[in-house]
Amino acid sequence: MSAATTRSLLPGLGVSPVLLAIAGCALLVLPQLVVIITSIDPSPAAIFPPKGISFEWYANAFTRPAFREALLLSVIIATVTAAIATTIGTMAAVLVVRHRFVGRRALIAALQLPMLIPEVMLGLGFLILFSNVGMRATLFNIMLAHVVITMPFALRVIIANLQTVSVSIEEAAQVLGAGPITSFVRVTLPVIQSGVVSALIFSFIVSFDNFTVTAFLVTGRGTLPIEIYAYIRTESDPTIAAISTLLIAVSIVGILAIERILGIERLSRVEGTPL
Amino acid sequence: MTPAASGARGAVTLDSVVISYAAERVVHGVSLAVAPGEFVCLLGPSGCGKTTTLRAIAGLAPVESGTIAIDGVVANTMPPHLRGIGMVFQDLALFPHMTVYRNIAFGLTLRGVDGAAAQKQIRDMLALLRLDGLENRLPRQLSGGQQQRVALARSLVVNPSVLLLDEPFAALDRKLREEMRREIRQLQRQLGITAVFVTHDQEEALTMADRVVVMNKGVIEQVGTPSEVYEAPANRFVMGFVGFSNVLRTDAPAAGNDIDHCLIAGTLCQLGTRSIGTRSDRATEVAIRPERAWIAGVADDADAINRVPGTVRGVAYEGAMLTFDIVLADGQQVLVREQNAGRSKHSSRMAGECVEIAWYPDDAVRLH
Amino acid sequence: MPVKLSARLSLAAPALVLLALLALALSSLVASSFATGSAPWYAHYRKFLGEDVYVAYIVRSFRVAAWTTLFAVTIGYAIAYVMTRVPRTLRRLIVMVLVLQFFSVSITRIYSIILLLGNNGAVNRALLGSGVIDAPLRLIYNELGVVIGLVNAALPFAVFPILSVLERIPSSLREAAYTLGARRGTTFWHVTLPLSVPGIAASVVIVFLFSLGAFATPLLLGGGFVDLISVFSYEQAINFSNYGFAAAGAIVSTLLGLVLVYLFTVLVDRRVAAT
Repeated sequence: MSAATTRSLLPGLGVSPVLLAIAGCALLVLPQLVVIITSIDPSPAAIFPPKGISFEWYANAFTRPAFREALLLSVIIATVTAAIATTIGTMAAVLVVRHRFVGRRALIAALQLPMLIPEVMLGLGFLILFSNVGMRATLFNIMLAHVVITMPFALRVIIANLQTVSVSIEEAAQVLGAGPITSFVRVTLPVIQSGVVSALIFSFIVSFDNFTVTAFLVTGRGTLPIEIYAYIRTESDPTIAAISTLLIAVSIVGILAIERILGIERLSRVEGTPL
Repeated sequence: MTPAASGARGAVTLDSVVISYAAERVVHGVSLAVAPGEFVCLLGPSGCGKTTTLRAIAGLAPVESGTIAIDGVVANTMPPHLRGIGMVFQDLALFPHMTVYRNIAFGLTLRGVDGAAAQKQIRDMLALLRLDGLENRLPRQLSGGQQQRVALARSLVVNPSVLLLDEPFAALDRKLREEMRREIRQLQRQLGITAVFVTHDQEEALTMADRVVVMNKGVIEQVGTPSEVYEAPANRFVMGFVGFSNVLRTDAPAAGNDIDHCLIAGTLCQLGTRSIGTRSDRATEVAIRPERAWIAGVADDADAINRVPGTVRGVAYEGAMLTFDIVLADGQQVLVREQNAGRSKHSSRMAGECVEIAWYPDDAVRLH
Repeated sequence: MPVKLSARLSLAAPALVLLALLALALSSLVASSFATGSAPWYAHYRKFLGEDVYVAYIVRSFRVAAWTTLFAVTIGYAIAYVMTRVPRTLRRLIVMVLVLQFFSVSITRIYSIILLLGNNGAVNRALLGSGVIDAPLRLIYNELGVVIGLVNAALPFAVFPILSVLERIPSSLREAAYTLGARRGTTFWHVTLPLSVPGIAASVVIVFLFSLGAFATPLLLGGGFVDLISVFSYEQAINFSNYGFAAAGAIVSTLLGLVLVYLFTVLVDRRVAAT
């Protein structure tokens, strides 16, 4: 109440920041709105505004085998990647949050390195490495690279979550007779459950979304972003708008899920400040 | 320490215990014998090593040298759960994802106690700590006092011989804290369990403990009953910590070899029997508690009372008490705390008034 | 109790394997840039830096990154500033939009900008329809389009570092300035802005490195006219299997970017220390 009163007594925001902020938000929101509207446009030229309502592009998206297979591939890669990256990230987070040792800060910085290196360098580096050692299993190569890229995201989420959990509950479990593993499984893990779920969602999205590194490693059939790219280059009908709309819907569901589990503001703080 | 006492259930013995954290020594050779059934408070400012000492007894901090024995058995490297201890943490450390019942059951399950036996023990504990009806609540659905009692129940249900408490009342308000002090003390007597309690609150230590252990910078400064520590502090640190806040400079009396008198701001004063340091030397300072000095009236004319003139500089109104800030002729400051007795002759004292400060010689400690 | 070294090692082991993999990929990249067969070891670098065509990639990349940083940080500042002063619900909505932006699939996000700003896009059709212009504006397939796309992608990275700094400035400082007679503009330029310099600096560094490394946006929104260094590396590696030359280009631009960022942070630190 007092905060609101204080605010009203102070001078307002001013016109220019409000206009700039509105322009910025428009730049974020308008493209998404145009995509959603275009996806129900019956004309194949994807010309705005639409002349009617049609769901044929959704049908096209679902019936084209290329997209179905790409989606399946993306989901498989992202699921496996998320599971591995979250497991490794959780283990490393427990180490750096719960133990004090020489080189701890250096390790934390090193583990987040992949977030700072341009993806083109990572993609090219992995391409050269895999071709040097003769690794030709594309799917495995992509997953390996994805785990390297996504682990820092999972790590950061878990570190942020683990830091809010007092060490004393683990000590209490220890005093009552729990060994390190029992204590972790029965006390720590249930308490950081929300962080683990968020880390899973987060690393799934980062992997699912990845275009650059995948583009360097892919041979033959690609993941969904790769197939979308290939389609945009040759076709101009709104099939991609239909897929985009579906992906936007899935993203919104994912965000609402994280919002419920962890609180989006906390997550935004994690992602906004690499290092 | 007698061998019989040190071997009995509930005895805790520390012998020259040294503890280091990250290459820094935080406890320098602490020796202490806690008798079975005794309630001992470790008292000291933050960073004095009291919590580290407690954690070493619990097995949560490694002992660098010396020995810790519990129930007569050396426990230096014994894991915490085999030491027969229960611990209540400063933040209580209740498992936030478990109900009250499951919090209490946790230690029993790990000890292989379950089924009807476990159920009965948990029911008894719930009844003992007046937690009946709350067993299905989560910790966050409880009040501060209820959370305290769950933490106690969880540590007591495994039937420890020693209860360790690390500033467990830190988060409670004053009224609840006083209630919990009484409750824990009563429970401890009822169960006949040994208790080691860490606090930085002088009043808490004095009201609860059988014996108070005053610590500073990793060493024990004094061990004694509350009244010993309060009335006869062993050194300057303890003196300051238990409230001797007036320390006055003294000069030698005219008869230079008279060690039972001194001059304070030019006035001859008698010295009492309490002292810190070598008594044969001349006292260079005396220490007096604000509440043991008073502003002299006409009736206080006995020879056995010291009276030193001064000027009131200010009065702090604290409700039940009044604290007078008085300056002596030589500029030294003395605080005098008196009951705010309403019709008291002093309640109307004003800044600038000339008064006389009075005290009994035996209430002052001479420092050499 | 002291935790055994083996316990720590087993927690760290999987993460260390990932780090080793990263190190291998990067060292393969560096090694290949020096692997020149019979030519001198620096041949790739000499060729890259010696010909105007290739140097142009670098110049263009840094120019685009600089414009993107300028716009994204300015707009991002405005959004963050507005966020600290609006009611909670509106603030949460803006956070949601920013997080959705971060979580949406980048390739479809770029596609949506084509739908909005293309020759047949919503903006051009709206302007043509209302008679403001006679011929469609060329908004994409040029540097402007790439910058717009990168600002769109970088806004979440720009907003959050600034927001977290702005939130830590107590409103009492503004109130104090106000009671001393400072107007809104004066308060902003003399109190709020100087105190938010660390957030702006963090934001500049993140957005600049992000834009410099961006790949999918210039690939699609440049339309082949605005090839940045990332596109150069990709084409050299994938179309011509010229890994060493691709690596040399990526390394030169990344090192140059890091040197610039380092000089920038030193400069900012000195200014902050001086005040």
